[in-house]
Amino acid sequence: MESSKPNYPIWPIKLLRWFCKPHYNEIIEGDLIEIYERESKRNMTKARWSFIWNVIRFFRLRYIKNMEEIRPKSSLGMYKNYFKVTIRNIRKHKAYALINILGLAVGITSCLLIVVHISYQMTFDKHIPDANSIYRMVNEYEPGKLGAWTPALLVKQMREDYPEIETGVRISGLFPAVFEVGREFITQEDGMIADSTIFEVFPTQFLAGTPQAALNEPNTVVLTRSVAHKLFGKEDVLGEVIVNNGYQYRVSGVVIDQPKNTTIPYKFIMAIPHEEWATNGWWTGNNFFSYVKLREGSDLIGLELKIPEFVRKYISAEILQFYKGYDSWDDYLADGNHKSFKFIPLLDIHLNHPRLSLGRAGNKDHVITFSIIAFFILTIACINYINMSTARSALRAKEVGMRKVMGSVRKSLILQFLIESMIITLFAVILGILISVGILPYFNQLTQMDYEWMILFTGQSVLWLVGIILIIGLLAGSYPAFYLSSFKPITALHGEVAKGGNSKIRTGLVVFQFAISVFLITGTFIVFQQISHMSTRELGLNTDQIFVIKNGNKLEDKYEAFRTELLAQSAIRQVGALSHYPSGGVPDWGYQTVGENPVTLDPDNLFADEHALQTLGLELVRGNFFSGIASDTGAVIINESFVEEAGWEDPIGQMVERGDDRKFRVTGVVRDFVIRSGKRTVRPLIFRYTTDLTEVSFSSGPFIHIEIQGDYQETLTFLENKWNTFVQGYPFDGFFLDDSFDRLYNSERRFGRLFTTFSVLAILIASIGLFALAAFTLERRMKEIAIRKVLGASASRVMYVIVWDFLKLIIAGALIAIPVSYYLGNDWLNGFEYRISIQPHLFIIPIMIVGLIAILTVGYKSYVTAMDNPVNALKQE
Amino acid sequence: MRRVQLGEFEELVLLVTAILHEEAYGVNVMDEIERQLEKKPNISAVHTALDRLEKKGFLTSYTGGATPERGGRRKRYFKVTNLGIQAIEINRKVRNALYDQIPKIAFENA
Repeated sequence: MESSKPNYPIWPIKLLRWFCKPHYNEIIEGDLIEIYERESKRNMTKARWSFIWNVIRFFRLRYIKNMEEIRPKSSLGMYKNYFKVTIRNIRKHKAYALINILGLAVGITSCLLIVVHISYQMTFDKHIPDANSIYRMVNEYEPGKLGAWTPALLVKQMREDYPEIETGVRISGLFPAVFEVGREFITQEDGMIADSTIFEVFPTQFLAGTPQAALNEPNTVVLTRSVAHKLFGKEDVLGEVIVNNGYQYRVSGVVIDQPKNTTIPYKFIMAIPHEEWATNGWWTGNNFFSYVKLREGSDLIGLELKIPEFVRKYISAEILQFYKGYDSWDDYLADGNHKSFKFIPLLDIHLNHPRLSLGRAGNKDHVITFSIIAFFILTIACINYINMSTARSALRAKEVGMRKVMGSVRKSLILQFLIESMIITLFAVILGILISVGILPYFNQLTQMDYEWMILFTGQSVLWLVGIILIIGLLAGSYPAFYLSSFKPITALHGEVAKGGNSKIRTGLVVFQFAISVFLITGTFIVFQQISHMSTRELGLNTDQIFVIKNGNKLEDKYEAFRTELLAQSAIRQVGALSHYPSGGVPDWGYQTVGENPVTLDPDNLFADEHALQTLGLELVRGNFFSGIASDTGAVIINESFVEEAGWEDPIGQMVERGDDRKFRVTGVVRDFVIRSGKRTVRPLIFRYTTDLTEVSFSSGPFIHIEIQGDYQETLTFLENKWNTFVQGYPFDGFFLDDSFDRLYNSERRFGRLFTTFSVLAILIASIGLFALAAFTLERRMKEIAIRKVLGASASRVMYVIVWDFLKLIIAGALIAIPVSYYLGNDWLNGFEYRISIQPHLFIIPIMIVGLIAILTVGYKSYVTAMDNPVNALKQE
Repeated sequence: MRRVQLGEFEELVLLVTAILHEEAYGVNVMDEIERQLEKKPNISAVHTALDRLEKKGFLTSYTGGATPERGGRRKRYFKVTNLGIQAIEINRKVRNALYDQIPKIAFENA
């Protein structure tokens, strides 16, 4: 035999034996060697190569060894069997598996979407280089009370005095602007004014121009890509000129669009006109947001400790000049006054200090709330799984018994059931991802975000998904696994394990599910009650018939003529102008009462003309409103809260001052009215009079309030036409006051909608589980019910017994849920100054809803069982 | 009449196996295909096709005939089953029936 010294190469044969199923080995080898022997007679080398190549060509799925053949002594074969049994079980009990997978999938979907939402909230400003060393400097006017606006000189002086600060920038914004390009007028939102150092603190990619050359002279502007396209239709617009408010601005740079997840979502940046303009307020005027970037390795705490000295050195003198009656700065501080600056890390702004954000505010409470809800939903789905697995354990008892008899140890049985639950979770995750992708548009509507489906597949999300599979698999699988694997083989094979698991644990879990359901419904109720409470609040002013025209300054000296023409229209009852508008953010100014014991107040400060009272529909309680004469500039009208805080018996004739030499005389008192969201109660308010409202208004003021009656559509067209005849080249812009008030509650509404959606989902999953559990219980009690009926029980009596069993669980769940929801609900409501108190019906209705759902699910199943002929149940064995 | 589902190469291997009658095994089938079609298939492809045909029930096999050229390994001989014969005949009939329906003009114009 030649086999002792074969002339064909040996190693390809070894390779073949390594990967090829042994069953095929001999035949393949024989054929290969035969071909080799034949070819080698003609060309030895070629024969060798084709021999190797032929071996490689046998690398086909058909011939490759499977797992257990590669490692015959491992337990891989067992895993394969577990997998097979799992699939068979799913196929055998389709409805049960469907409920399980569907319930888990819905839970995972909610979880996934919430995770996406939350992790997005965590990404804010993270794209900014060195974000960790960037801080927002804010005003601390009382310990712990922070003001967003800071003096114009702050950043400049800090940079000069403290080497720890590498660079800094002043920002003011965001505001809308109307740009004139060629002959067109285009409104552009989200602009800001900033120092040229903005790109040192917040570097961004330049598409045209350089960070060094941008914004370093007045009347220059940097546009983002999309704005450049909107205004010019192209990107390369360096040196182009746009006009705003009559000033020409030269484009000195084009940058990429800023990402959405930033607290500084600017669309264009204008240079600070000139330093005198910026710093005319000195240290007591707070006109800018200040950002500083610390040098690497700087000591922030050390820097904070230097702030009191800084305040004393630069600001104390100006403050003492304003608040008279203090001999020294120490006296001022000793009197309980406070003035400091705080450093807020940039990365903390979005969630921890949302009021400091220039963009859309984040909300940490919402993030926490939704994390908890996501957890709840998953828990409910897991409980369903646990309940159903243990309840149906009798069906698996024989398998467990048989496996044990065949030599399986408990450990591998536990492993089997854990693997089984992980496979089911895997199916649920796949289904959950599909559902998530499908409902993403609705989720976007709900959250008013625009997530793309790709965000579900980022590294982080995938990591989460793997985590979910493992955690749910373990969590939901562990109890059934330990329980099922504990069966004694003999009893299991006898079929005596019919108890269906420890019913106490199962009952406990169901109670817990109900507790969560009741809690979520109660939460939904409280949120909605509060929202409707706030939005139906008695405002004390007329909002539904008032249209507000913005940019009143564009009318210039033609305002009176404009007003007269409007009033000639019968549909327009009254026209009044104000520096700001209710619901739109009103600044508070410091005032001091004049008298023996001066009181310092910071009332909301509104400049108004003499028609404002009537237009807004305010109620005058005492004295008179402005009469429209020049001497009115020395008069003020205050609200009742002001009177109360000032502690005046008779407010008319009292005097207030602002630190300069001017004094104002109170001539009238109006009833309190609401100008802010329901989060705040009514504060002191003061009306001032000025001959030129433009001077004291926001950039888009003064606001012309117009009281309309009858058909407003027609009147709006009329207003717009009138505006266009009076103002050339500036678009008509305005809104209804009640819409503006409505928008104050947008965030709460969004919260409410999300809360409701996920509550409904949670309850849905819980009722699916309840239905399955009821079905199972009834199946087990079929004979009992039949015997009861034979012995004379009526169907309704039987139903009552079964339903009552479940109702007891609901009551137990409710007893747990009530104190928790009372506590958390109260906590949430404490965030509102104008709030509801928690009434008993807020608990009773949810309990009734959950009870009704339970009665319907259980009742339906028990009705079917109870109405069945007892013979059917008794005769089957 | 329904054609029996067979891949093109499978059908070829089935026919060749039938031609070789009792003598068909891997290398042999490969050689015969080369001889008849002047195109040499890879031995692994022949094996795969033979295995598939056996699984479909068109072939049976038995082992035997170890020779020194094979390093003492046995051959696996394949034989066409009755089902295989039927499949060959059905496919042939279908093919012929279709062929016969082609109008003469189609050949003339081609």
